[in-house]
Amino acid sequence: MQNVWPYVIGAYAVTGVGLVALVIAVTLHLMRWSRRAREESQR
Amino acid sequence: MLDALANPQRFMAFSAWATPALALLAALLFAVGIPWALVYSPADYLQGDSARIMYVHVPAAWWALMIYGFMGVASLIGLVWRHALADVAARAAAPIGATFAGLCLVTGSIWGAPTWGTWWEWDGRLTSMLVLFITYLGYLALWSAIEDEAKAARLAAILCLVGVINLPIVHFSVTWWSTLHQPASVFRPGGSAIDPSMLAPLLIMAGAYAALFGALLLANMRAAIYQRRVEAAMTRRARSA
Repeated sequence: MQNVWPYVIGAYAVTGVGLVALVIAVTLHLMRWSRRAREESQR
Repeated sequence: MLDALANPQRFMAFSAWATPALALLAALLFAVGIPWALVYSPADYLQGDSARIMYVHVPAAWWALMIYGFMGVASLIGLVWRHALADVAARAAAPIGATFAGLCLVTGSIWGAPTWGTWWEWDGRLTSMLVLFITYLGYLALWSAIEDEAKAARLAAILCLVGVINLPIVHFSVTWWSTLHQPASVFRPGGSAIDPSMLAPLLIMAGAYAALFGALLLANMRAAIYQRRVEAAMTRRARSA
């Protein structure tokens, strides 16, 4: 019987990396614009 | 509810607590769902442990489709009723849907290698899912390519509504054509064909993806509203200078 665990772990790893990268990108995007909006309102 | 949230001030107050709450819910559901999927759920009688890929692949597919449907509804509301936040919501959802569609294709390909003996096959389900992924990218590219935001929103909404035609094609492709991909197991006439021991972790993982989508959608919409405020202030300053 073929060992399928490398495929299973690979699928979970790809999903984990993809979702974490998405969360980081969205968080950085939000932080950037909230900081700029704060700076703009203080002018 | 939607009318109340159409006001950006009210939306910002709501999303200030809803975004972290949904992110926390997503983290909790993943913390329960991943060990359940990888360790505690039974192996499939035919596919063995490779069926565990289902718990990351299927929710990504469901939500890639549903997010596009959500974008279609938001685009229609934006086009017809000029709802203040509809275009913002549609645009904010697109990168999340594109990521889910991409993950669905990659994890499906990884699942296909040991199960079908091939990483890719040009069958109805795989091809229509690839078309959905490309439509997401096209939608995002269109938004970025046009400087006039009102024009970009209108054209992107039209593209999005044209792309909605693909949603029933993706869903019914496994019944319309003879494909390698298995037919629907959960959303099908007669109810789910999956054993409860596998359905429960699948629904937990689908809930985790849903909560994550909610948190990221609200975060992206908040960023878009901040961006509009900054651009409006810069325009005002430029005019008064």
